[in-house]
Amino acid sequence: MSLLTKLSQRLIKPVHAHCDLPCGVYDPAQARIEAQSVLEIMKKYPNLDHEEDRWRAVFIKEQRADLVKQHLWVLWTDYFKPEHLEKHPDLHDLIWRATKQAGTCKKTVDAAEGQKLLDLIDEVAAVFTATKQA
Amino acid sequence: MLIRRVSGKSMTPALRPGRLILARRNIGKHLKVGDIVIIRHDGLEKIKRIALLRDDEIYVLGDNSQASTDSRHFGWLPLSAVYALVVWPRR
Repeated sequence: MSLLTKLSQRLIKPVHAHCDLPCGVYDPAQARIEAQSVLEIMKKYPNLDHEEDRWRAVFIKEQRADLVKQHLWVLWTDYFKPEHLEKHPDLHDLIWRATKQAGTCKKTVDAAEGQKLLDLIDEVAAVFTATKQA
Repeated sequence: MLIRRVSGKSMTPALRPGRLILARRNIGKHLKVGDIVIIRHDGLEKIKRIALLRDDEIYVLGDNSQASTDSRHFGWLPLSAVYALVVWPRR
């Protein structure tokens, strides 16, 4: 930082060109709720009698799985900071596996895959909680 | 004349964070759409551009709408909220 910049920061009053957003509210619970929907739809799928209901179930499941990705990406790109990564070096890999798993859940109605997604989100949530306590 | 330092990104690319500006307290009756003004709002001096003008109110926007909290959120402001008119840079 140049001397002039430092001086100007000390002496010259700021005018705010701010955005009140981002709101700073982050919670892996958002991703988890969507993943729970994915899992529950997978469980219900075999018991749906009508083809229309099955179509609809698949459609909604894919939407929810996409929302899981979206919520995880927001945590990844907006919430987690380099210092979190230092303490949790597997974070990138974990997010990668979790979002990949969300993709897998779009392709299948196998509830075991839905459960894997929930488990991965719980791992992300554990890291998130740890950063909050730090 | 006031000298101020821009903090935040809502006026990019015209005014980037950290740049210094000059503003005139004596505004007169010459405000026009497109002018950059310092407003006093919520206890802060904020910098925005006038987007609309009517009798005694202004509607201000940040140039960088994705990263700006402005009249879209807090509505029209009375002219008395204008604290100074930015004279440098000119646009």
